[in-house]
Amino acid sequence: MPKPKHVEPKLVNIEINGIPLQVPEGELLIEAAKRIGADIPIFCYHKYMKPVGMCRMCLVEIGTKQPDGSVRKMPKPQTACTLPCTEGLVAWTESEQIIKDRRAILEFLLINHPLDCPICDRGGECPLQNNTQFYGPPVSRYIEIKRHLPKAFPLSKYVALDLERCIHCGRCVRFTEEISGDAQLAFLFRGAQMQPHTFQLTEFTSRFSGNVIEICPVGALTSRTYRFRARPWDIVTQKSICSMCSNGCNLYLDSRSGQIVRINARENPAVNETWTCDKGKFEQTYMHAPNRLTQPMRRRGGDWEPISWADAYDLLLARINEARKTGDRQAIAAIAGQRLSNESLYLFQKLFRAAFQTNNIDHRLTRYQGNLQADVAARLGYPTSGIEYGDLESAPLVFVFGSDLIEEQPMIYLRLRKAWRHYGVKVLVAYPLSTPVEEFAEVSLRYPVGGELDLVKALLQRLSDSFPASPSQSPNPVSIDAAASLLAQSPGVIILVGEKAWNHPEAQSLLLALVELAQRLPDGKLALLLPEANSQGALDMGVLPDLLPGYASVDDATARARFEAAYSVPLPAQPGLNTDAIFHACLTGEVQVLYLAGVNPVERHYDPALAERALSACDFVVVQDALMTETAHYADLLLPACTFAESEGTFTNWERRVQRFWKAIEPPGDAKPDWLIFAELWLRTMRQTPPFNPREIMCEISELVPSYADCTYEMLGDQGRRWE
Amino acid sequence: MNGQAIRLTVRPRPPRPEELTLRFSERAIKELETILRHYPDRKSAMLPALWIAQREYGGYLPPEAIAEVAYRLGRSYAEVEGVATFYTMYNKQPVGKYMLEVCTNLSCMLCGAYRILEYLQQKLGIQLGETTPDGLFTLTEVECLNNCGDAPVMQVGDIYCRQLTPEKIDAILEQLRNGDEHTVLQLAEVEVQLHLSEQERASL
Amino acid sequence: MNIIRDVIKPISRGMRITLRHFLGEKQTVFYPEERKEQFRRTRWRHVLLRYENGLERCIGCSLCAGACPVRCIYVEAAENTDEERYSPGERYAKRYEINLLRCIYCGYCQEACPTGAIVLREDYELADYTRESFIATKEMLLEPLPVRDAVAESTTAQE
Repeated sequence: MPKPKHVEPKLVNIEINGIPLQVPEGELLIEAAKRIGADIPIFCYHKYMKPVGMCRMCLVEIGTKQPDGSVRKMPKPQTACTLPCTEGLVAWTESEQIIKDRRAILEFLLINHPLDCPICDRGGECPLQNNTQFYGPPVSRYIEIKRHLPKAFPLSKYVALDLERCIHCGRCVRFTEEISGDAQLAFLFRGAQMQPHTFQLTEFTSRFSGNVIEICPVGALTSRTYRFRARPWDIVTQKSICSMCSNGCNLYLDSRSGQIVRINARENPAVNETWTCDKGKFEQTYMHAPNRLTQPMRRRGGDWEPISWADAYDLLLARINEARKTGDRQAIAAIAGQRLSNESLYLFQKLFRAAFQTNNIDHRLTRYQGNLQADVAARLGYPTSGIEYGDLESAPLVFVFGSDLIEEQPMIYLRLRKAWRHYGVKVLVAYPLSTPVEEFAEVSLRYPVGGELDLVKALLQRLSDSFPASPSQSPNPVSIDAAASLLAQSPGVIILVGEKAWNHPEAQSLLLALVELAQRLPDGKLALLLPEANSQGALDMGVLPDLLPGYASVDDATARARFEAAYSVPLPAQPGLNTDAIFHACLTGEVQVLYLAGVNPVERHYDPALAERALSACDFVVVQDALMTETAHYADLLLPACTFAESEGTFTNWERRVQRFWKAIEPPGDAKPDWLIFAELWLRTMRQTPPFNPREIMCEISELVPSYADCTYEMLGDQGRRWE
Repeated sequence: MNGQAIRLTVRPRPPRPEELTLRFSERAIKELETILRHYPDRKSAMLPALWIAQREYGGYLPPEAIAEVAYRLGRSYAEVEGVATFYTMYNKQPVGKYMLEVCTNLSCMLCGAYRILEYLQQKLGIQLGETTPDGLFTLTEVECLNNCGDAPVMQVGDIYCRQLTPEKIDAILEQLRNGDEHTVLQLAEVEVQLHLSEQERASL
Repeated sequence: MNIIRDVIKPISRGMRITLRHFLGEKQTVFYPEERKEQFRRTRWRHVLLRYENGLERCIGCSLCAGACPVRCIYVEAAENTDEERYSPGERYAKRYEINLLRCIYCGYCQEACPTGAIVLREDYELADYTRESFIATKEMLLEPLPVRDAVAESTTAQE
């Protein structure tokens, strides 16, 4: 059964350490004890995994209240992690017996533990160290020779396994089985010889392998990228948000001497629970890439000449003013990246709309560059996604359409897997190739590459005979029938739409067909999954040729009036050019100045050749980016920008959750945060006070954009806030 | 494992399903399919499937056998390997034609199991866990065989040899050398047949 | 004013003390030709010790840096390899630096060290001209390699 949305839990009366309290029935005793602050040491228990009671560390004494008020005690201690609370439960977590038991269990665990804490990467933040410190024996009575097993065995390029340190809690094995689902780790042998391993010591290829490092309560599984780079007390930890995709995983960035040495997951039950994918955890190292830009540079012949920021601004504004005087309205265009923060994107559109009087701004590099407001929001009431993570668990059926979920949206994949495993949510998948979602999908539709539109049309036709039949052959009539009947039977279907839809040659018709499908299904919800960390923010902030921040149309005079009053300049009323139109205008010479802020069309545009030709044809290309990308080679002026780790701001993830990230390290050289570059340009052109920090920009956004009204930094807090 | 090793070693990738060489015979596949019908979940048939694999792969489970079982049951390789290494009656190394498994638990030990072991080692010229050069006998030590009344006990394939004496051992070895009964493969066959009903056996 | 009581008598009393010390044992030494012997447990500049086989005791665990109340120690660890072995085990200190200007010579690092690698010894001549020269690097701190007595070794070998 899918998880019911709102259930009033039944409360039961229990007593822990003499303190009476009411908890929901069935809550595990270990969680109930946290409510009164009673500390129960644990190794194998993990909040997001099934309890197994393997390590015996959480033993407590329990009893039940009898009708006459007396307490009947259980003769033996019980594991708190496997004990659901029931009416009249009485527990003691600090009794003399329990203190003795804990000491004995720790002494046993330490017999086979090498105690090489000084060289162990877990030392200083190790649950085994901490529990021994608080509950363990002061000295060891074990004088025999310790066992010896392979140390630092490389399981993959990310994970090293030290078998001597393993205490057999099974967290890693359970993670690969329950959460990531690939079951690549298992316990081999038994008894004293038991060890967690991959099959025949082959590579640990899971896409979520980094999580086992974090959940290992000892240093048995350690990171190879972080190996020996720092100790916990050398590290400065800062809260952040992952910049690799639109899932918006909450992270901690750990830096030492200005270098990010490690990335860990930060718990957010509404988003990533406590997981990360390997891309976010290990591959997010571009802030220390050797091709970082550290200084503004202009092109002199074939060479780069370093110049000061003041000269760079002068040069840029001179070229823009020239273009505005000589050319027509189309002479300036700008494309912003989808990894910029909301604040930067907002200032970006403000600068170009108000200061440079152009609507030629966009951020999309996909084939679909239409008007989301008209195509989707006007029909469904939301522009991209009508759901949040939690909704996946309570849906009867989730239809994954055109997305290799594990690659594109790893955290949605994990949550969908959880929904299927724990709540029996049915899954329907349509993808041209083999995808891991098929393993647990009720029906899989493999359509020929590019056959998305035919598939949706075929489904629509099956759902209602009035819809005209699809012209070409659909992939497999039998499974289409099965899929259609599954869709028709489950009210409240969620349709997750992936990258294939955005890049379909007839993207707009496909999108309209999908909207039609969502409308046709009873209570159907559509979620258009976005490619990058702040793609949603770029839409919300109006980095679009035809929409102002908050999806108001630029030709709507009342909406414009609000912004005009705030900016005290008139705004252009005619919709501008979208990305493709900008590139074509570059080719005809209409666009003379092209400003690219944190965007890499030469690599990311669906048609790189078009982007390359446009950039070579354009008179003056300004590239503002953190890295010397392929696109930067076409620039006439380079402005070094900061990455998310070096500046403050917010990202909006695919479910429209606005989340803050904080500055973790100093920017290299003269690099400046994107918002600051736009603010300084604003100051130079408008002679108006620019905003001084991202907090202030967000205040302005919350005043002007109704959906962001609640998104000031004070309201956002650590866990973010989803706008409705 | 030293530092050099960790920097240079790249583990081989686990085999992809299409890279596996499948060796189950027609009959084995039929048996597995029949057994799978007994359970709601394919995972439940793992133990009989491993017995079939042990029979098909010549009395032991090489990594390829484990991979094949995993493939046929739709489970991960590591999971099947974990089960196969947990149970001692699945052989992970090649063994001889016959397995001589001598119990050395308490009752047998008191009745002279170690004398029997020593005699066997001497007679066959091998140590515990080794196989004779002619590939006939593998000698191992096992825990209680649940036959303490007849101690000392030895298991050979699908039978128990009870109340052992050196003379009895001589006779047993002679009988095994000359016959073709109670082999390792036969034990696997018996174990597989145990999982099939009378009717199913007839229909196969 | 009584000249004897108020002037001569106190002066002569004072001079008597001077005279006594003048004739007695000398406390001063002709530094730098001569040096005073230091107390055995005196704590001056740090030394990183080696084992008898020449391997470094320091394993780069950074516990000294963690214990340091003024955070004057910087340790960067790296992995030993068979070709380049600095210390026994997996880990060694690639960089080990102490800011001697910041150090308060409390000896907590010595107490925290799990291998007894860092000790505070009696080298007290720490003055210098530039601030940079007060950053003691690993090369400066490390005990010199034990000198091999080739003659003695050959004789023991012959025996």
